[in-house]
This record gives sequence, C-alpha cells and structure tokens, in this order.
Amino acid sequence: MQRTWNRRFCAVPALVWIALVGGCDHPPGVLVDAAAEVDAGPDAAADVAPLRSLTRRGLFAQTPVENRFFDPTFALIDGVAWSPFHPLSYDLCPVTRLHQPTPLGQPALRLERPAGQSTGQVVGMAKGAPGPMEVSVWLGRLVGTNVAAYRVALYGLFLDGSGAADLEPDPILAPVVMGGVTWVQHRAYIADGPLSWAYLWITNQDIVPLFITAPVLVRVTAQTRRLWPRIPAALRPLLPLERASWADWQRRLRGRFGGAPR
Amino acid sequence: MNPRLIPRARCWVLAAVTLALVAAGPPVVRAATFDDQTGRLTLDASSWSLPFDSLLELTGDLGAWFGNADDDELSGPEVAALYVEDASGLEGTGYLRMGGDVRTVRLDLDSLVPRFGGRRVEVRFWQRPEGTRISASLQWIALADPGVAESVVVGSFRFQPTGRVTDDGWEEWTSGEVDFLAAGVVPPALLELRDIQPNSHYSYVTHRNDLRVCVDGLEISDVGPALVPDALCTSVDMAEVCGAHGVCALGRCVDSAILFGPTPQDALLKDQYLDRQRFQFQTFEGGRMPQSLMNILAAAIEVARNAAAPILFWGSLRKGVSALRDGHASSPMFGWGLSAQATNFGVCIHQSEADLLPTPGAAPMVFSVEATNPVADKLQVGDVLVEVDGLPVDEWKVALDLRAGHGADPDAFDVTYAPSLIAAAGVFGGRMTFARCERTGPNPTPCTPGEVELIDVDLATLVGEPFWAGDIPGWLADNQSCDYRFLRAVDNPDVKGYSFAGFADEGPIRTLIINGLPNPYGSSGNAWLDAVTDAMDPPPQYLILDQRLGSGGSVTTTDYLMGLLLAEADFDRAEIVPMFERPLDDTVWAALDGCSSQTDCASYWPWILHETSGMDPSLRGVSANVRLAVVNGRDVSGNDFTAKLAQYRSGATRIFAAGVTHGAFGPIVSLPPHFSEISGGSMQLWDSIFVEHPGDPRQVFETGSGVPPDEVVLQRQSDALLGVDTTIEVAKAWLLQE
Repeated sequence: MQRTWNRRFCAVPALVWIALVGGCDHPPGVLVDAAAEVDAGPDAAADVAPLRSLTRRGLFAQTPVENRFFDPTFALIDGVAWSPFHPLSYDLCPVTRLHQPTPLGQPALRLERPAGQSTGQVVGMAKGAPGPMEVSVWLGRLVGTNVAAYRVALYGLFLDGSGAADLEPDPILAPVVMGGVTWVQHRAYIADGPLSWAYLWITNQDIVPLFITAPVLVRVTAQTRRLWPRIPAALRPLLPLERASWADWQRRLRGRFGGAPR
Repeated sequence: MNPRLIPRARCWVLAAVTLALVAAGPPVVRAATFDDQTGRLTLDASSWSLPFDSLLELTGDLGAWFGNADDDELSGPEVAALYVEDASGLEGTGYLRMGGDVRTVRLDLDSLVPRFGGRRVEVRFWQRPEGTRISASLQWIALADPGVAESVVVGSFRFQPTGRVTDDGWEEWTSGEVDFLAAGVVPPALLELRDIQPNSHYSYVTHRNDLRVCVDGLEISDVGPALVPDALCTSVDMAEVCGAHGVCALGRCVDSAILFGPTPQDALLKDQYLDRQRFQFQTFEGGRMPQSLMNILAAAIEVARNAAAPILFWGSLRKGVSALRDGHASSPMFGWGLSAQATNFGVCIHQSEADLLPTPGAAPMVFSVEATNPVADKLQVGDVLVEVDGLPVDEWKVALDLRAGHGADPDAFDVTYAPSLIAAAGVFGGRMTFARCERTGPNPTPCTPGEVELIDVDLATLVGEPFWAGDIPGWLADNQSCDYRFLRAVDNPDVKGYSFAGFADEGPIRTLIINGLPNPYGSSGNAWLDAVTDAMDPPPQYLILDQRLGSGGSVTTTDYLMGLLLAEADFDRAEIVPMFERPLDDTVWAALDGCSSQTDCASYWPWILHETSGMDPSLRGVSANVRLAVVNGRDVSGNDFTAKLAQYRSGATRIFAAGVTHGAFGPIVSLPPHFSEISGGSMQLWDSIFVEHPGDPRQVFETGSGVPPDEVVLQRQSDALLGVDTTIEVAKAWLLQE
C-alpha cells in the first residue's frame, strides 16, 4: 500500500535511501522514483478505481479572498451581516446554514418563508467601490422542485440615486446538480459600483426552500473585464419590499452603539 | 527544490545531516496516510488512534459522553445507532454519524497522560458534513474539589482545517501542535465534538434536526518532547525561562498554544486567513483615523505571517488591530482560558493621585475591598499599587505590552485599564507591591519614606502553587464589579449594573447615575427611561451626570438623554458615515443628501438630535439650562457621544474626569469567523461628524480621539482615607460656584 508521508519527514527516509542505497552517484532526479518505491506497498490494486481522491481546499474554496461581501460564508446570521427578516411583518424567515456539496465549495443557506407570509427573504451586506463591479450568487432548488419563483438583486445608493440591479441567470454556465440541489449561477455587471454598503436582497416566493451559496462581489479589473464581457445591468427603482427591508436593516443598526469589545 | 539541482557535495552534506538525525532517534511519523490507489485512509500505527469502528472503543478509560441539545446524557440504543458500518468508508470498517439529537460527544483524555505526558502532540480527525459540521475542541481544565471551588478552564481552542479534503466530502481537521500537559501537570481533560448548529453565532438560524455529520479516523500523534519547559517563571522572565512558545501562567510556564490556540498550521490557509484579515480591515473599517493607521496593522500581519509561536501570531494581530484606535475593533479570538476567567479577588483599584506617598503622582489605588480572602485581607482602601514583579507599574505595563489590547484613544488607557491590573497580575502569577501610608484625621500630610509600609501580594504563592497542585482555592472566584467611582450618590444594590439609572439629591444638587445606554425595549430599558425622565422632571437647579462607568448602548437612549439636556438650537445632528473608497466630495454628498428617505443611503445616516428617540416634543431640551457637571470614567461608544454632545450645550457645562473617553464614535459590528475562531473580532464600519448648526461644514471625523475633560481630576489618596470622593466634591464646588 502506498504511504504518503508528512512533507516535513518524508525527506528523511528519502535522503537516507540516497546516501545508503544509491549513494550520490545516482542522478538526483531518481529521488522521485525512489520515494515512490520506498512508499509502494505490495498490492497497488491498479485495476480497481479508487473509492475517492484527495485534493485541497482553500479557506474560501473557489471564491476570492478579496470578496467584498462582509460575510461570504454565512457565518453571522446576526441581523446585520445577514438579516433574515420579513420587512413588513418583522417575522423571522427560517434560514439554516448548510454544509453540503456546492458548486464552489462554500456553505449554503436554506431559505424558507415564514408561516403566513407569501415570501421569505434574506439580506446580506457588501461593500461597493468606484468603477465596474460584478456581483454573483448561486441559487438552487431541490431537484424536482425547480421553480423559478424568486428574485435576487443588489440594491444600493449610486451616484445618480438609489437603485437596484437584478441578477440574471448566467447565460453561459449550465445548471449544476450537487447535493440534491440544482444550482444556477446568477450575475450582474455594474458599470459603476454602489457608494459604500450595498445589499444583496434575495426573496423566495415559493413554498419550497431556496438554496443560496457563494455570494461574491468583486471589482472588475481590466483583465477580468476581458474575460467577462458583459452589458451593464440597468438600475431600476427599488421595490417597496426592498425599501422596507433597507429600513428594517437600518433600524437594527441603530441599536448598536455597543460598548468596548472584550 | 528540484532534486536535480542538488550538487553532489551538498548531497553528501544532506546525507550526513540525515544520518545524524536518524542516529538521534526514529523519524516521527505523523498523520494518517491516504492511499491514492484505493482511496482509503490508514491510521498511523505509532499514533494513538480512534477509528470509530465500534462502540467498544469509547467505553472504559475514554469515558465517552454523548449529549443532546439540553446537555442531557444519551446512552444505550441511541448511542449504538450512531455507528455506521461501511467497509468502503474512509477508514476501517465504519464511522460515527452524529447530529440531530446527538449534539455532543466528549472524550476524557486523562488516561493518556502516561503515554503523552511530557510530549508534544497533534490530534487529527476527519469529518464528512451531511448538512452540518463538527466543531472539535481541546479543553485543559483544572479540576476543583466539588463544593470547595469551581473548576477552571486553563485553555481551550477549536480545531482547524488542514486543507486536505476528498472528492466525496471528507475533510481533515487538526488541533495543531501543542504540549499535552499545561504547566506539566494539567492534561487536556476533554476532547469535545459538537454539532455547530446550536452555536451563538447563529442566533437567527433555524435549527434542523435532519442534518448529520460523519466522523472518522481520529488519532493523536506524538510529535516530540514538550516544547515549553516545566518551570517556575514570572511575568518579567518568561521569555527567557519559558522560551518563544511559552507564557507564564500562575507562576509556571505553559504552552501559549493552550492559552491562545495554535497558529494556522497549513501555509496556504494561513496566508489566506491573514490576507482576509488585512482585506476586511482595509475595506470595511469606517474610521478615518483607523484608515490612516492601517499600515501598522499591515506590518503586524506580516509579523504574524512569519510567526511560529501562537503568542506572537495572535499577539501581533491583536496589537495591529488595537493600533488602529478604533475603540470598537477587536482581533479574532481563537483560544479561551485563564485570562477570560481572571478575577480581582474582590478588590477594585483605579487610577488615582497618590498624594500621600513620598513621590506623589498618578497610580492605581485601592477604592474598595469587598471580600475576605488571602489577597483582599492584605489590602485596604488607599493602598497604592507601586510595583508588579519588581517593576514600577507603568514599566510593567510596557514590558508586558498590555496596551496592545486597548484599541481606543491611547490616552484613555491608564485610567480604563487600572481595574484590570490585579486580574492581569493574577494570570501571570505576579507579585504585586502596594504602598500604604497610614494617616487619620483631616489634612493628612504625606508619609516619609520610612513611614511607608510596603505590602507584598505574591499571587504565584497564594494562587499559583495551590492551583497547579490541584487544590484550587474557592476564593479564586471572588470578584467585584469596578465602576470607577469612589462613592455613589445612590444607595441601591444594582447601582453598578449596566441597565441601572437612578438619582439622589443633596441640597440643590441632583446626581444622576448611569452605567450605559441600554436598549429602550424591554423592562430594564423602560425602567432606565423612567428614571432618567424623572430626574429631569422638574429640572433640578444643578445636575451631576455621573457616567463614570459608561458602557455604551443604544442610539435611541443616547438621543433621549441628550435630547433632554440640549435645546434644539444647541445642536443639529451627528452624521454616521461609512467609508466610500472615493473622495467624499460634493458629488458624493449630493448623492447622500438626495436620498429619497433616511433609510436607503448606503448606510449613511444623519442622526438628528431629538428625532431619533421619538421623544415627546415637550421634553426636548427640558434641562437645557440646568448647570451640568458631567463626570466621566471609562466611557465608550454611546457614552462617548453623551460626553461629546454635552460640549454643545448652551447651558453651563463642565466635564470632570481622570482621562479621556474612548473615542469610539460609531456602531459596532461583529466580524464573521473564517477559521473556526471563537469570535471573528469586531470593528466600526462608520465614523461620525458632529454638525452643530444646519449648514455648518461637514469635515471633522471623530473616531480615535476621546473627549477630554475640562478639568482633570483623580481621586486623591488623602481623600480616600477620609472617605471623600474627590471628583464629586470638585464637581459640586463648580456647580455651586455660580
């Protein structure tokens, strides 16, 4: 059976092998083969496909570190970073953070509507910046319940007034099925980013849960602009619900002249 | 390095070094090995392992404990059902599958002391989330005799990801390397696996009982001898005695990984973690002064990037964040233990004027003793703390870099930190030296050097020795809330409580005591509002606003209190302004001013005094003409605002305090944890501008600079011996001067 040594210590037997068995007359390149030979077990089971393979995952999986969402992994559903409140009734919308396979390897949020309400929603804050920006998020439904009764928009204040940019399904990327969910990436390209804090507003208009993962807001550089040539989203006026949710968020903020951190 | 590039001579040198290493002992093999050809994991034979193949593994010495959401123990069939037989699983013949009603598994590692005592270890395991995930932690607990004292968590931290995952969802997690024993005697009493769903971070998250997580391949590897010596130490010699990785805790060296948590172990994850820390402070921080100091944090992050020792890694982050002067900012917390539980043994000390010592000056002095124990019994009101571990107090604070944890205006540090000095000395096991000048009667004269009595309080002997010997004294839990007041005008058992508001009259002077600005909703908030309203109805002739403990709170209550004390003509508004990453020029201001309402303006927000609280118009400025003395102590956030707004009153106003307020002008928000930290830290996303009159220029951002007193007053030692509150007497004298 092959043995994978911890990197720090694998050099020890390998170098011993060079010194004692091969000496230093062998071309150093043999080190790779030697290590494999030392580690190889008697039964390589070459004809049987491995049950799984080993890989690596970074801290934010396949999303950028410089993601301008305040909380890109849904670690703080605290009413500020992510706020799961119905803007008119103030009812708590049922949300659950899920750790399951997702297209970009990030945790997901399951969003339902509160009892007695026709929609459930969650709002997350992200920091705008001058110049072109791209916002994206993956939305999903359980396989077999693939209803498109939802809305997703980034709203904020722009130099010419407040407005919202609707995110649309990516026309190029095909839906992805993972973890029993059919995922579709939604995007919007914004010609000039919102002033400071903006809000991703996701509303589920159906009784079946909506799944959300990998919200990303990034500045579009000259290089990425070439990769993603897009027509900027047209900004539209805020919907009454969006305006209400913004007001609700601000209301929560005003209770937060907290004391010194511990 | 490409092996082909190794020259022959260098190769022989390497071989010789290798032989020397081999001669020194067998190579240490660590971590389970993953077989690429089979896709299976093999636990290392030389490690202590727990393959989770059978319930029998967990019986006996490990004393496995299974708990539900209420921390009630589960047993029998419920536990047996947790095992899943799966020969094609990650490792062995099966794994543990928890979640749902089974929230917690605790393992007692005490039986491993003979094997790992004196050694350094690393614990690894694998988990496969099926909707939820495990948070694993190691906890070093000093156990007390039941009924005598409470057990104390010496240190605790959570596991971290290694970055190794499989394509079917298994993830490897590690404790990181850590000495098995704390101070050579306390083993990690618990290895806890907990479903992360019922976590305080998710206060608005709906728990689902159908989520599971699989656990497999737990092993403890011996990675060598303990890194930190089992030695006696003091706060001032710990670098030399305990080494780079050690910290002096209660007089003995302890691995800093136990107290603060290990550093991120994987190089890539460490880089990404630090890059995110830098990015979020650079991008999200709203304070303009903090932004101007961001290069200090950036430099501290680079120190952390190259740091191997936890004390340096987490300490650098802490120091860098504190240097920003954002009084709401805090760095991530990865470990939790002694310092969080440290007490003052029932003794409050505050920065004072030691006017009876031969060399008078500002120094921490005992304000009150409210306990009976070997520490408190040595001290009395008026005793002045002059040294810790042989260093003058100010030098000791510098030597230990205690200011690194203070993120506010640096000028506030000496006053606000003084009550924490006893607890800080206690954590190290320091020897505190107090100076006593016995005097009675009015007009006491300073002591000569020969008259000063020095009192040593050796916390290593009084606390550390019994603690590490397993005999935790019950009085270790003695603690007193310190409120920066020598005396209180109001006699009420809750007078130090956060939500307290109350007043009392002495002749024409009314004193209103508050300790913060609690949320107006709920019974305590209502009681606070009632008390404040009653204090102004009718308005007194003279008023002392005693907010020496000012822990901040709600904008609404801040608006209400100051709305009573300021006329509408006194002050227009404060503007709560985020960072824009573009010049805040006329174009941006026009966009902000043009918002269709006050609720959709990029989180910019004009706080118009008297309007935010919705106070009755008849109450606006009802006490605007009252002669007002504001007495500050430790004032932060909402109480920064009350102090600042008081300066705009048209009525006679004067601020008395020992130092400046924190300068935290804006709301606080928590930062998300990214690396299984206990807390991701916090910061202020906004800064504040004060606009006295409509149309005034909007230019000066206030965060980072506290409100200075009009008159600096410290409690005098001579007054303390007479039972007189110096600050209040000075304030009264000014009020009556009219």
